[in-house]
Amino acid sequence: MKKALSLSFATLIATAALSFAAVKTGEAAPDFKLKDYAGKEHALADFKGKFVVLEWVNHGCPFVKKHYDSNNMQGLQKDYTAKDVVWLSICSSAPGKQGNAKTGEAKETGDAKGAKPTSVLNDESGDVGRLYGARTTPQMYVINPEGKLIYQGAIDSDSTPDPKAIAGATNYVKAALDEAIAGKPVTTAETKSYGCSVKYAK
Amino acid sequence: MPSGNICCWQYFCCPTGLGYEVGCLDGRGIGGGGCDFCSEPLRKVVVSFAMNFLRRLLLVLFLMCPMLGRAQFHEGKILVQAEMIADVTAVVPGKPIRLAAHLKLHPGWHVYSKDPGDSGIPTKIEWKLPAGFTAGELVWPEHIVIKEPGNIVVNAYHDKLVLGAPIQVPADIKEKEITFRAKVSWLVCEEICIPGDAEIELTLPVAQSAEPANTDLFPKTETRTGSSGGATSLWQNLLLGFLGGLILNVMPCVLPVIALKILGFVHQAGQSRGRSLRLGLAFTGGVFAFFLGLAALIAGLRAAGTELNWAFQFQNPWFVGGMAAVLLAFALSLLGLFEVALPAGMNNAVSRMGNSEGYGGTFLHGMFATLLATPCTAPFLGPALGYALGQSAGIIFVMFAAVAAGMSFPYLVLSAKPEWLRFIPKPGPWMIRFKQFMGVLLLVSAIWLGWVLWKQVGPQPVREPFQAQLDRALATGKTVFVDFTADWCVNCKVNEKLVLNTRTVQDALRENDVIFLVADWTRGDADITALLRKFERAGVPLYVIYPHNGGDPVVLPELLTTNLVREALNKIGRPSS
Repeated sequence: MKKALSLSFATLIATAALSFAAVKTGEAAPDFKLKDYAGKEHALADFKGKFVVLEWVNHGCPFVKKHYDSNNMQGLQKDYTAKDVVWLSICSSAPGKQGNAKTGEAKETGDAKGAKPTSVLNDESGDVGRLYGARTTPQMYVINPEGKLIYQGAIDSDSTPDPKAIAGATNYVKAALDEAIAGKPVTTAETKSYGCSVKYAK
Repeated sequence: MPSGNICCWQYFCCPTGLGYEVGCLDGRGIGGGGCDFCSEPLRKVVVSFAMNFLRRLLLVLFLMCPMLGRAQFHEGKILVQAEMIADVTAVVPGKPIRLAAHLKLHPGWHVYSKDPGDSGIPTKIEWKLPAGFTAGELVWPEHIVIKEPGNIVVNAYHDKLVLGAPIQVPADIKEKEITFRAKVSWLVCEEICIPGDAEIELTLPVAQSAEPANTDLFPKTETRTGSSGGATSLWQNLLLGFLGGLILNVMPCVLPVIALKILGFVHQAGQSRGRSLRLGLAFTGGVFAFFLGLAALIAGLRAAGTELNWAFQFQNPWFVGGMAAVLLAFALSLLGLFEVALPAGMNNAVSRMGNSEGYGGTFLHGMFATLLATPCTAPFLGPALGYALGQSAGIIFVMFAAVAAGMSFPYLVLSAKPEWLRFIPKPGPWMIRFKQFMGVLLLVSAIWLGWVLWKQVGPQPVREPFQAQLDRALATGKTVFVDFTADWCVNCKVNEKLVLNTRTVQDALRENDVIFLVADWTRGDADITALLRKFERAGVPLYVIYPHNGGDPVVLPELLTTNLVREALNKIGRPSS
């Protein structure tokens, strides 16, 4: 009986873990190379020694609009790039799909809304999105200067599309960065992200 | 005018230029509830109209589009229409009703379930009920699993969603009619996603009696809310339990042991009627003791929050090993191959089991026979026990008592009317043969249990959790046949051998492009236990066919025939390519 119970329990944990992450929190974040919309290539390895935030974006998705129309995302980008954090917005929408209806849409719309990431990267093949197991937009990853993934998941604790809910929600990215920059362990290292599906190619 | 924008859900139509489109441009009205006006230049156009003309126009449009107050538009299509429905035509004071949000979706679009999966957000209802009325938990219909590119899997509904809850109705109502209100909010997606919400309401008269309404929309299964299950369903299940107990006597794993009992009765044919009856009662006592003990254990463990099922003891290798050893010992003893060197008391017990002279031995015999019966969930037992396990502790005890009564019934009758024992042959040399034959049957049972034990503790293949296997199979869009089985379940093995593995059924599976999944419960997988509970079953076997077109799953009976399976599969047919 105990054996059956512990087996069931282990199965439940394994299933939960599998459905959450392709990359394990606490382990090395996989390296990747992507071009920005000006054609310049960037690699994750270029930023070793700095904190890096990966933000999966699709400006057509109501949940991304929640954070951009309220200036929440732009505020985070400005605040943390000023603290020497590298902020990479990544768009994994396949060509023609929402977020990438025409190439460059991710950068142009972001610019128009006053976004201030370090770079906006073009992942229209979806390879990096699949590598990181990015399922929704927005979906956030925080990597420390040693290259370890210290947070992955939702941007905050309120999963509704209502911008008014931002003020009362806990911002997990802000919390993780503030704690890690101060040398403290990250209290919430993993959450289930919310948003629209990333628009991968079929 | 920007295109492809999010629309709003509104109580009135607003002019947006040429023609009339109901909707608002994006950036406004999301979660705000109000549709702020359509766009800058248009506002000027609108204002330039005479106020009278505008007011009249709005009134006409409002009357023209009664449903639009609760509809979500996008690019000229109605994506979601929402209304409130009830399962009755009137409110009867003191009698609970069911209210639901009925969402009609545009083809190709979906809204999300309680656990949306990898993306999306659950559909929500915020009830606004009059004082005295309280809403219970939402009842979620069976969702479909949608697989999106990038290994993204979500739980959603196409075409329609009826999401409701039981509503407690006060016994004292002064009003002549009641208006129920709610705000339902959702995320509707196809290639893109659009959040929406609607204020829905329904007014019902208050009356002394009411007819059922919307029976095609509300789910048929009765919610398990304690005694409101109804007296008839309880009696039906008790009868099923009794019949199930009766049938347990002929199950392959019980018959050899029961045969030992018959030998005893043959001996008793010469005994006094009183003694015979008392022995019968002792046997019955053993059966009842086992079942009620099991009921107590299950009720206690359920109270402690553990997931329980009917045959859980057979999932424990120690139990299986122990049982195999005991059966082997008795088998060899019956075959006369050796005398088991048990302590004096136990030796008496063993010989008593053969001769059934003592009350204690007979009582133990009753318990032993029952213990062996557990892996053979008889056809009637499955649904009856599934029903019981969802009920209160009291019902569990009563149900198990019914099963005990069914199982011990033949022996009680025979012991009360020993003259009917004349139908059993008189003692003679045949008894030795019979005893040896029973010994062989017990030996076979012991070897079979040994095999089960080996499967349980021997090298295990790495197994993917069952729910993931099922979701993957369902996402292919083909019909899925699930065979819930276990190594220690003899009925399951019989069905597999005699029905499922035959040429007829294999052909039917192939012709209808069916995916055949085995849900192996030998070691008690948590996903499988949860699915069994969902289908209101306590044990295996269970056969479920998930049709390819996303309709309700079809549950087959526990006793399968090749024709039955073939017809069920052909009725569903194959998916049109």
